Amino acid sequence: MPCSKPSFRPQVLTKPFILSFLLLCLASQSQASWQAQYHLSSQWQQQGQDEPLPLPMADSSWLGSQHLSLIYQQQDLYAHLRWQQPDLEQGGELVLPELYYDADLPQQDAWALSLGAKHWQWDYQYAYSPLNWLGFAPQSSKLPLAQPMVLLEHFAASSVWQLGCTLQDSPLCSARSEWFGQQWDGQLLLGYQQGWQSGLAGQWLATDALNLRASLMWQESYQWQEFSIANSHSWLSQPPWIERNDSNWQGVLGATFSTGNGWQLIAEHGYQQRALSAEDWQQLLALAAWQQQQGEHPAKAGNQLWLAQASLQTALSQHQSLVRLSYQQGDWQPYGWLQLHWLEQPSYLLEIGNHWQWNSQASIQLAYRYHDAQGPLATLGQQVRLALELTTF
Amino acid sequence: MFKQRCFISLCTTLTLVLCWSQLRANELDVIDAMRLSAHSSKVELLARQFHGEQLQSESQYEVYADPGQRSLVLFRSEQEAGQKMLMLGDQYYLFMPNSRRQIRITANQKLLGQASLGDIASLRWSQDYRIRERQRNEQLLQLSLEAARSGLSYERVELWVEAESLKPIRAEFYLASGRLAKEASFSMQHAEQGWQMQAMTLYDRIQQQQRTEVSYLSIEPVSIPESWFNPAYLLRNSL
Repeated sequence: MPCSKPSFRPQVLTKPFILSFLLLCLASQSQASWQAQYHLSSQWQQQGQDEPLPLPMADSSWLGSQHLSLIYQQQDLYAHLRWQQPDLEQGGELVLPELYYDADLPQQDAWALSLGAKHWQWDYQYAYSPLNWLGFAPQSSKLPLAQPMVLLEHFAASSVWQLGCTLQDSPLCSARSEWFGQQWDGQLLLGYQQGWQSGLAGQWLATDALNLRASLMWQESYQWQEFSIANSHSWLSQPPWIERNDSNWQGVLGATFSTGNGWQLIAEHGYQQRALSAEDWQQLLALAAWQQQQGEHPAKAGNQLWLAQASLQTALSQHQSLVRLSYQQGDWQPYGWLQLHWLEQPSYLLEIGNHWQWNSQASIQLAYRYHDAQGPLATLGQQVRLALELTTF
Repeated sequence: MFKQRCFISLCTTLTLVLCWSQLRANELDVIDAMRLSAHSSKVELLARQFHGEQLQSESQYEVYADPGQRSLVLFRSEQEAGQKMLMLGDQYYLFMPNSRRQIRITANQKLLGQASLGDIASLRWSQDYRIRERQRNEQLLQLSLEAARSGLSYERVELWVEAESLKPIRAEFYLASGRLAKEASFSMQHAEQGWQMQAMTLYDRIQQQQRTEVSYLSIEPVSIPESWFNPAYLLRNSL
């Protein structure tokens, strides 16, 4: 659940850049380490019902993807080069998900600097993370790419101060303080990107088994698309969306319960003020269903676009929840999670699977995903995914 | 006269209490010194996990421990490279390279694994436990230890040591529920500075086939930067 609506264009690389990068790594001195990771995923999916939604349906299909990552690390320098092919039937591309320099300032043990594209996770939550402002990658992305930035940090005995800016056309600059206590951790953020934004989060170890947490964020200027048609049953030449810019609230409550023998239960509930409301979805689906009944192709194409735009919202519903149960026993980690979108009729997404660490260099994941037969997730149907990951050192 | 007697009795009692406290501290301090120096130390560990007689995995760790109940564990095996764990008294933070944030873990979560994270990070018994009872049986001294603070992996430890040298022989570790979780035996070597712990074998008494051999490869005094004990510092690559 991102805090704004940034565009994540892959940093596709030119050949001279890649060559320079490889020469830089090869020319580096000792204590460097290389790691290669190969990931192959094959997925069988069956689309959901055709009614009442107008999206085109396929009986079933196979989809394959793969990527090969090369990770280089030499003390303060970290580089991650990846060749990725999201669809095996289409071409691949080279991207640079991360390239950064981490260094302690000379003669200053308590000060440190990070420069470059680095993934950061600031929020305490598992699934919905409104406070991941810098180096943030969307949860929905399978191949996230970090944003370039500069970050200065000061470490005190039990707290840290951070001051950072993203290096992009419209930079986000923020100051953050986090403190670590006996039972409590907390953080406070203040930032500016076309408007002020602020955040507050805390986590509390309630018992030896229970971790409770809360996150809250406010943005002065948030861009989103609003559904603009109310109770309309008519042919539309334009998608029923208008660009809006206004303030936005997000909040998340979460809890993790864990036992000493490997069971873990995570529950989270998130709210985003500017996501599509249950009423918006009701009107959109009613309009789509009405036009579907007319059976005309142009309307069908238009509805595909509208619904696709709806699914691009940073959150599909104002209220959403996640429950995840997992068990870790040796090399096996079976899990299951349920994601709920609180619409007029709650719409859900269920996944059960198992991750098996075959040996130190190979792991296999098998998962089954089922989407609710009604609501905005209905057309996604069901999927079976088998993934293999190989790592060499 | 009565006041004078009271005062003497009080002084005697206080002296006995202080001596008793000193004696209690000394026994565990002596045992701790067989693993660590009194100052900040770097300890290199090798943990080998067995199922029956079959070796399942090997993990190598570097532990930076200071006298103030703080330990930083760096995972050095290739398959765990980049993982870090920080113990600040009762506070435990875990950093996994893929998650890109420090995760605060509960006391229960640090029990996971054959040699639990708590077993690896907690190298000083004197800071974690207090002696509740002593029983001498010929050459052996049995020390019954109870947790001195909350958040420890084990609520109670029964420790058998050689009565004269305090060299540890074996131990039993009990969970808060009273259940026996692990047993340990110790391999000791006599060096110039006295007995040094070479290895500890942990027998899992819940999953009976599992055992972990923890070898102490090297122990050396070091100076540890203060920032290493800040949870936010775990995200930096320089560690």
